[in-house]
Amino acid sequence: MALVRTRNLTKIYRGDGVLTPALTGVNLTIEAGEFTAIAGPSGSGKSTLLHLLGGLDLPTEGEVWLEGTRVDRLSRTARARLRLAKVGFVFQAYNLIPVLTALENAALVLELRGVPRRERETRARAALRAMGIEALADRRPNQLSGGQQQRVAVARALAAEPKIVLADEPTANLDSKNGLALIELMHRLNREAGVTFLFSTHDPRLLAHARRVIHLEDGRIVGEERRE
Amino acid sequence: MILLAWRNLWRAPGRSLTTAGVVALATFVGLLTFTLFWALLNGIFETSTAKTGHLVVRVRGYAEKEALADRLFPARVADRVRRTLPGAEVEGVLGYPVLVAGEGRALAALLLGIEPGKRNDRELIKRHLVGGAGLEEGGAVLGRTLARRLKLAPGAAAYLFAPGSLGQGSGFLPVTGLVALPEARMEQNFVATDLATAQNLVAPGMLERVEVTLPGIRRFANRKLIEKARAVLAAALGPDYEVLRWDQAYPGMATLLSVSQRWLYLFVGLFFLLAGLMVLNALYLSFYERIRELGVIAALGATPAQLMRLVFLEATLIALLGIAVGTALGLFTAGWMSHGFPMIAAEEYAQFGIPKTLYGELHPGDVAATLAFALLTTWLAVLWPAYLAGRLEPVVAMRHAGA
Repeated sequence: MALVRTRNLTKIYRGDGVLTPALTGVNLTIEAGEFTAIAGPSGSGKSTLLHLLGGLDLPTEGEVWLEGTRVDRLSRTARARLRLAKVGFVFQAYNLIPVLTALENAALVLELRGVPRRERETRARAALRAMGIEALADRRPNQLSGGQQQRVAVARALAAEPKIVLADEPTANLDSKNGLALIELMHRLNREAGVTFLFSTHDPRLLAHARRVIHLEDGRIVGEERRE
Repeated sequence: MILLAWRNLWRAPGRSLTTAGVVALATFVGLLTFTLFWALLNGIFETSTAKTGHLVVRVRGYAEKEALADRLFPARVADRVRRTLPGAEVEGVLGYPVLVAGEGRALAALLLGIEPGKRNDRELIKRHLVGGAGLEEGGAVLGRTLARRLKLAPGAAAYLFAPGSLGQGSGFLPVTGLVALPEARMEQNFVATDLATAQNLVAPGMLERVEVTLPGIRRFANRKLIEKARAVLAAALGPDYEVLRWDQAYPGMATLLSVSQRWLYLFVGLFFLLAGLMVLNALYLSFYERIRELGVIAALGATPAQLMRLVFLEATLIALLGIAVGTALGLFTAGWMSHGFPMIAAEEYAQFGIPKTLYGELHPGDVAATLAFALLTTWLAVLWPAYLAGRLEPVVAMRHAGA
C-alpha cells in the first residue's frame, strides 16, 4: 500500500470573486522510504500540494490518501490527529515557538501526543543529537542561527517518528553551507533510518540528492525523474 | 502545555501583569466590599440591639390591638423568660403614648418605663446623658429637643398624661436628666422613667414588652443563635405571646439590610463585569498577536480542543496570579479593618443607627465566592479568544502577519 496517494487533486483559491487555480488534477503516489523532491518555480503549487498531502488544507476536488485514510473526508479534529500521529512538518521559516528552548520545541509534538515528560525529553534530545545540536538544547530560537533553527525544526519533526516528513523549501532561508549540511543530514536520515521525506525546493543542491524529482508547473505535474 | 502557557504570559510582561492586576483589583474590591458590608451589618446590629435587645416578647397580635390596654401583659412573664433563658439579661419595658406638658404647652411623646441599671438605662440614658443626674426613681428623663420645646430643664416638673390608662393616668415628675439621642426623631418624643413609676402611671404590674439580651452575641453573623433562642422562648411562653428577633420587631431595619445586600451584589457584579471586559481585551490582543504561532501548533497536530485549552490555561494562570495578589491584599486589609475603623461622615449616618467605629469581618464563604467569581469572570472573558483559537485553519493562520 502506498504511503501517500492522490487522485485528480485540484485546489482553486477563491478571493474577492476571483478564482485562482493552484493545483489541477494531480495524481501522485509516494512509497515509504522515498526521498522525493517536488521541484518547480514559485507559484507552481509546491506548497499547496504539501499542505493538501499533510491535511493542512482541503482540496477543491479530488482525493488525498495517507496510509489508507482518506484525508480530505476527515473533520478538522481528525485531520489534526492524523497530522499529529503520522506527519512531520518542516517549514521554510523554521516556525519554532520563540518562548520554548530547542529541546522543548523538539519535544512539542510529543507533548501534543501526551507522551510523558521524561520520555519526550529523551526522544527530543536524541533527535537533537541526530541533528548534531544537542549542545544547544537549552537555547531559545533567538539564540540560534538560521541553520541551527532549521535543524531544531527537523528534530521537532523527527522526534515523533512520523510516517512522512513534509518539508516546504527547507533550505530556502539558509546560506549555502548550512543548506548543504541540512540536505546531507536529511539524506543520511533517509538512508540510515528509512525516514520518508517529501520536500519542495528549487535548490539544485537539494535536487541533486533526491532519488525522485517531481516537476510541477502551473499546478500540474509536467515531469518526473527517478535516480538510483 | 502549562509551560508554554506560562512562558507566553511573559512575552509581554507589562500586559500580563496589568491583566493580572485587573483581576487582583477586582478580587480585592470584592473582598473589601464584603468586609465593609459585614462591618456595616455589625454596626447596625450593635446599635439596634443595644436599643432593643436581641429578642422582644409581646402579646400575640400586638400590632392589631386597638385598645392600648390590650397590648399589656403581667410582669411575671418576664420571670418566665428569665427561667427559660438563664444567663440572658431580661428587662421588662412599659412603653405607652403620653402627653407631656411643660411651660405653656403640651406635646405627644412616648413614655418608656425601664428598669434602672439595665440595658435601656445604660444604652439610652447613661450613654447619651447631656444634663441632670440620669434615671432616678420617680423622675423623668427627657429627650433634649422635647425638653427645649417644653422649656423644661433638669429640676423642673413635667406633667405627664396617659389617656385610657389603667393606672393613675397623670402626674408630675421632676426632670432628672436630658439625653441627646443620635436619632433626631426619637429625641423629639423621648421621655423615660423607672418601670415602677411608669406602671403606677399607666398600668400597675403590667408590661408592654420584655426585651432579652443574649450573652456573648455581638455580631450579625450570630443571628442563627438568636433564632434558636427565639424558638426555645416561643415554645416556653405558648401561643398568647409572640417572640420576635430584633429585625422582626423592627422590620424597617431588616428592609435596610436586604436593600444594602442587593446593592452590594450589584456593585460587585458591575465591577467584575468591567474587569472581565478588560481581561477579554488583553487576552484577545494576546491571541491576535500569536495567530501565526497558534497556526504552527495547529499544523503540527494540535486539535482545536488543545488550542482552546492553551488559551484557557494562559487566562487561568493570569487569573490565579491576580487572585493570589488580590486575596493577599484583601485579607490583609480585612484583618486591619477587623480592629476597628472610623465610619466616613459618621454624624450623618448616626441617625440610621450606624456607629462611629465599625469592625470589619470576612467569612470563608465570602472569600470562596469572591475567588470563584474572579475565576469565572476570567473564564467567561477568555471564551471568545479560545473559540477563535479552536477555529483556526493552520494554513490561513500561518500566513497571518500579526505575529
